[in-house]
Amino acid sequence: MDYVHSVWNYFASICNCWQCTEDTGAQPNEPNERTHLLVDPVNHSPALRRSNSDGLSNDYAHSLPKKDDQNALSRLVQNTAINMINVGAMDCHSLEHQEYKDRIRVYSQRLHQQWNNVQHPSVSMKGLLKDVPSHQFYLSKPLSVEDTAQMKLFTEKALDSVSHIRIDHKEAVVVPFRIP
Amino acid sequence: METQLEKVLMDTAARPDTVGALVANRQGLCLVAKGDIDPNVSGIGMAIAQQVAKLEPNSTVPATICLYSGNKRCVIKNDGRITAVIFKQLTANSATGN
Repeated sequence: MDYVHSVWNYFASICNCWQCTEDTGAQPNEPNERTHLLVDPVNHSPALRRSNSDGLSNDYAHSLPKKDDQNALSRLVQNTAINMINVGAMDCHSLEHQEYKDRIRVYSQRLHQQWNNVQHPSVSMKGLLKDVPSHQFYLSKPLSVEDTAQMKLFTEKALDSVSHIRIDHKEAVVVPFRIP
Repeated sequence: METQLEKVLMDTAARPDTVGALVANRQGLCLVAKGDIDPNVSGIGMAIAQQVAKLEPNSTVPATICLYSGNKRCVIKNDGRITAVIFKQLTANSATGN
């Protein structure tokens, strides 16, 4: 009987542990913007419910194998429970239309507040030629006549020279192949 | 073959205030470069000239572009077949002259 009691204590401690990790959220009954979509997935998994039930631990306690095997078994159950999420068993909290609208208002207000607190770098950087110290000087600078005249002469001469480029070949450019 | 073109560039690069000059072909590839100018500038120069030409698509006269930076300036012109780039520098003599 002592053994059964220890087994029961073990399951109870596991259960408590899960309960305390679940209760870290502020208001469990009142869903807010930080509430998880899949609330309490561990406790809703069928494997855990089976392990939590009184009947199982009491009825099969006498047939439980040795301590090591039992530890391994409970570890298996625990791992399975963690990996399983029974979505169908969870109750979904449906929102009333008015509540839905209220929440939209509250969330958008909070977003707006946060948005105002953020420092927007793009606003301060707006402007043309910020990196040029005296851009007025350069923007008002006319193209000098010297430069245009030089460039005009240069392009004319260069174009003339380019069009005069000829290949002065010393051998025949087209070589006849000996086609039989 | 290209001796005439080279002579034209030599003459241009020898002009006062001129640092270097180059000529690029239609693809922006450098044909000849003389003076203190990187031949790789040819492609960028042609691209700038093409972008500037979009400002006035109906203009038949090719635009002359001048980029100022400190006491240096870069003059670019593209007349369709070739792109010419000239690097110029404001020297002490020309500064007093202006």
